[in-house]
Amino acid sequence: MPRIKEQELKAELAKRGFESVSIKRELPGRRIQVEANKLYPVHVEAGESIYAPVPVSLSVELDARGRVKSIAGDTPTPAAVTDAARYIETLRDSGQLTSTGEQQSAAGMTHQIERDEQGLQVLRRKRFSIS
Amino acid sequence: MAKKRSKRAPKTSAPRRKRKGKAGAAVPRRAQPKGVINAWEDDPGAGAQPSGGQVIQRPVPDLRDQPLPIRIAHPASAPEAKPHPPGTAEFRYWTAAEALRRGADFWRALLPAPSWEVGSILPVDLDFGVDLNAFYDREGLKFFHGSAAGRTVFSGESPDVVCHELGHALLDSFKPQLFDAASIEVAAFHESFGDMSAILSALQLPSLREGVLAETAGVLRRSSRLSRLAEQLGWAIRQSVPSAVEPDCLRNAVNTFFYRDPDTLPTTAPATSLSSEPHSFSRVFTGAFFEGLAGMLATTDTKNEAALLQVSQDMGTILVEGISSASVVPTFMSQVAASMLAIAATRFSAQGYEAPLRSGFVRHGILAPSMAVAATHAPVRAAAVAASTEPTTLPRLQLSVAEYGLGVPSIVVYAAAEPKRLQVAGAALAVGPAPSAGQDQAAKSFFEDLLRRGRLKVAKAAKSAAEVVRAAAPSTHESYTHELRREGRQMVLRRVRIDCGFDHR
Repeated sequence: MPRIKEQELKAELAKRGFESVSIKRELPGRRIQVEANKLYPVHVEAGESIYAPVPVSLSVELDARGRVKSIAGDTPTPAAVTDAARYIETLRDSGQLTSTGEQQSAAGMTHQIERDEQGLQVLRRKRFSIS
Repeated sequence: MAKKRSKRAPKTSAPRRKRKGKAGAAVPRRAQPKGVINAWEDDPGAGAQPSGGQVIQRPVPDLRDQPLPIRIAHPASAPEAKPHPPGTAEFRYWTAAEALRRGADFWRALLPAPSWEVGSILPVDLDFGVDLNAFYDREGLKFFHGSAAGRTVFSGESPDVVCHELGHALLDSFKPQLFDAASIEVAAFHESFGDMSAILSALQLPSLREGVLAETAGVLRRSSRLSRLAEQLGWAIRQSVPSAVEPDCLRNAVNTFFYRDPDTLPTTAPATSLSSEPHSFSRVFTGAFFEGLAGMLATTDTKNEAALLQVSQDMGTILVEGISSASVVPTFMSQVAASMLAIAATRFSAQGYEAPLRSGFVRHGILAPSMAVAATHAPVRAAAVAASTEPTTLPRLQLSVAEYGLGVPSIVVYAAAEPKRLQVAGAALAVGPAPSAGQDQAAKSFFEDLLRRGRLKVAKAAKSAAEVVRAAAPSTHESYTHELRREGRQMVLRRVRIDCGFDHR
C-alpha cells in the first residue's frame, strides 16, 4: 500500500468536486474508502437546478506513488438525492432557507442558496441555530 | 427569583482520564486563575418559569486553556472575576465563560486530536443582536437578547444554550462533513448532539448531579432539570408562539417520539408532534440517548453522584467513537446507534452498558430489534423458518424470529388468542391456508412491537441478547403482557395479562 498523502489526496479530490473529504479506512488492492460530500443537482426551482452537498462513500484506487488512479462510487445514491431534495423542501417550509439577495440575518435562517464561481445555484449551510 | 445555593464541597469522583492534546500528547496546564465566580447551574429558568434557576459558585474559568481555547470577543474585556449578582452584565459574562470552559473541557478529554474547525481559537459573541436564538457558524458562536412579556432574555446566559452551541462546534471539529451535508437525519443529529452536549456538560457539575438525583429520586429517566433544555429561552419563545416549544422548556430529552422515515413526516409541526424539521426530528435520537444514559446509571452498583459522573464520561466516549465510525448516509441515526452499540459491547462489556443503550434505541425506533442484535452480535444468525406441517384447528402463523436473538428460530402465533392487531392477520387467514407476505408481515409487526415496547418476557438465556428493558417497568412485579411458552415441539406466543395501567411507555 503506498503511503497516503492525506493533504494531497484531499486537494486532488477537491479538484474533482468533492468537499469535506475524510479517509475512513484502507482497503485491499491499493484502495481507500473515503467519505465526502459532492455537489449534485437535487432539486429544480424556476427551471434551474439547485445543487446540494450530498454525502458519498468513495473507493479511491491509488497508483504506486499514492496518486489517484480511479474512483468508484462517486455518484450519490438515489436515496441520498431524495433525502437532499426533501431536506431543501423542509428548510424552505420551516423558514430556514433564503436565497441570494434575501436578508441573510433573517431570524431562523440556517441555509442559503448562493451562486458559486461556476454559476451554479448551491445550497450552503450558514449556521446552526438552537431553535 | 434565583435562589442562592451554597458552594458544595468537592465529592469523591471516579477517576477522569488524563487530559490530552493533539495527537494524544499530554498538554501542560496553565496556572489557573484564583477565586470564584457566580454562574447559573444549567439555566436561568426553572420548568415553565423564566426564573428560578440555581446559582452556583465555580472556579474562575480560563478560556485560553489549551487545547480548544475560546475567546469572548464581545464584550471585548472581561469584567472583574468575582461573584456578581444575577441580572448584571458581569454575571452573564462569567456564567457563559464557565459553561464554555466546562463544555470544552468535557469533550476535549474524549477527542483524539481536539481543534476547532473555525481556527486555532473559538470566538464567541455574547450579544450579537436581537433574537430569541443562538448560532454556531464557521466564524464562532453567537448569542442574542430578546424581549418577551416585558422581560429581556439573553440566550448566552443559559449554560444549556451555550453548551448546545458549543456541541455544534465540537461535532464540527471531528466530523466536519456533517456541517454541509444535505440530509435531514444528519442535520437532525447535529441538533441532537447539541442537546446531548448540554446534558453531558451539565453532568460535569457535582451540584447538578446531586440535584438531579434528588429531584428524580435516583430515577434519571424522569423529566428533570437535566432533561429539560433551555427553560428560559423556551419560556420566551412560548410567549409569542406557544406551540413551538414544550410546555416547560425548549426541548425535553425525556420523550416518547418514535423514529419514522423523515420522508413520511410533515415538514413542520407543533412541538407535540414530530416533523422533518431538524430540531423537531432531533428529539428522537436525544430521547433514545437519554433513556440509554438513565439505563446505564441503573446498571451501576451505587447509582450515586460519582457513578453518574462516570456514566456521563463513558457515554461521551461511546458517542464520540460511534459518530466517528458511522457512515454518513440518509439513515445516519441508525448508523450512529449501531456503532455505539458495537463500542459499548467491546469497550464497556464489563459495565453492561449495551443492554440499556440497545433498549433506548429500539424503544425509540432508531434500530429495529433485529438490527440492534446484529449490531453487537454480527454476523446475524441466518433466519431459519421451519414450517409446521402439524394439523391444527386454530388459524395460526409460523413466524421466523431468529434475527431477534431469542434463542429460537421460529414461533407459532395463534390468531384466535391475540387481540386486535393480530386479529387482522387471523381473520385474513380464514380465507386461505397460507398467509400472504403481507399477513405474515402484520403478525411480525405485532411481535416486534411487543419486543420493542418491552412487553415480551424473554427467556433468561436470551436476555442479554434480546431483552428490551422498559425504563418504567415496576421492580416489584412482572408486567409483561406476552411470553413464549413451549407447547410440544413449538414455541408459542401467549398473552399472559392485559395491562390497563397508565404507563404509556
